[in-house]
Amino acid sequence: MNGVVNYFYGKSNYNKIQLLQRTSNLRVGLFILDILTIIWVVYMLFSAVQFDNRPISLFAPLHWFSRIFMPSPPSLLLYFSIGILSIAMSFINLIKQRSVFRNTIVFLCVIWINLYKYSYGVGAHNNHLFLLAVFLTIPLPIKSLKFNSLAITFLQMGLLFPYSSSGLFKIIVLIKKILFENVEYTWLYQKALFYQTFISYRTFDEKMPSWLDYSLQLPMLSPFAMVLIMTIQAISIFMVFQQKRVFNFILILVFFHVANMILFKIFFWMSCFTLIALFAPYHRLRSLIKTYFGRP
Amino acid sequence: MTGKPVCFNTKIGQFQLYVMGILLAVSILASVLNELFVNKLNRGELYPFTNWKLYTMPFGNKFYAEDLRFYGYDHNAKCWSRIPLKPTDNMSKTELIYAINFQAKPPITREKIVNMRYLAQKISNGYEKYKLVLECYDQRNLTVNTSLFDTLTVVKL
Repeated sequence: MNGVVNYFYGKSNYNKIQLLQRTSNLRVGLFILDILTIIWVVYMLFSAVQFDNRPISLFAPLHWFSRIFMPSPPSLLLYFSIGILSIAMSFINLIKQRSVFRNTIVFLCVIWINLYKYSYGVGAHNNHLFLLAVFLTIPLPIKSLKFNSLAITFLQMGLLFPYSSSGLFKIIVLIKKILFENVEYTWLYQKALFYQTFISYRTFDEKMPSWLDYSLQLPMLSPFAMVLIMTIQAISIFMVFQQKRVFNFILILVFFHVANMILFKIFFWMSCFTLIALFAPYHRLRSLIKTYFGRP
Repeated sequence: MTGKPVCFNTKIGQFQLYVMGILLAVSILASVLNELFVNKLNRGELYPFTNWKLYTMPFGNKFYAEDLRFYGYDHNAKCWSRIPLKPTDNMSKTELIYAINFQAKPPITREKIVNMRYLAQKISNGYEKYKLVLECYDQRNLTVNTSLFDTLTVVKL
């Protein structure tokens, strides 16, 4: 075990203070995740009021989970009672301490609430990172400062695994297409990014802003940007072993999501919020507040 | 600091550690299984949290792209006119695109036609008849002139 420790963390680099920082950061992070859960559930309840008048025949569950647990649109009463149950559980988590029992109930409620809005033909993986975070934080109740550091590493690995897998798959497909199938138009094609953006905007019947039009046609932009993004995505799971740099890396991922929103109109707001909430170095914030607002 | 680092002292929070390990293993294993069996079973995704095949190839990689749009028949002008996509009171643009794509999947039943007519009327009311049209184009042409696309009527509503 010590060999593994020394390999990843350096010999005795990882001392007690750093563990305390990491643990207290996660405590704040879990607190913010609970607040985020409450806000998200309230948002979903309000939007459910808005789309409750859709005809029943449009309802089309795509996922096996929704076929079992939500075969037909639920009544607003049921939807609201489940929502209020999860809000209450999260609220008790906030004021008392998190417990495995309450976390499990919140997870089941949240995944059920998520089904309704996206059962009208939309794919099955909406808000997936947020749901994954709620899933993986089930065994993390806050009892004094007793977190196992390896457990935190596991949590972070679980959160970054989707990025790694999608990045790896992009690289594998790229190599396969170029070497074995001789395809010219891959992500390395000169105008791939420009055309992708153009098609995305056209699908939404919107006109591409002119600044995008000019900047995306820069030579060699698409190959460089895409190789960079694939590399970033693929190595993301290994960044949990670089605790000093991991938040900077998370900011890059958030930037990647923002770029996706602008270019391809893929809105992953909850992924950004979840990543920032669970990885942010709150101890730095505390020292910042101390230096600027504290007594000299 | 000397000796064993604190970070791997497994006596701290042992229960958490084990359950966390199990959850991590479950999430990775389930996503692998999902990737292996999702196409074979054809029952939707097994595990919703990770999707591996996101944007592995750019859109229009065969110089071909398509959109589904509604066209409405204007009785006074006596012509079909294109209805641009716009959000309705209970559906956003993204949800509309997904809903239309789902309803237009063959086989097109009578129920699906009723659904599509509902969607078309939601987007733009006031036309006498509607039809669902597949617009296909080569993006190299469309970036030059936005009217250079072919149309194919999928179904009259």
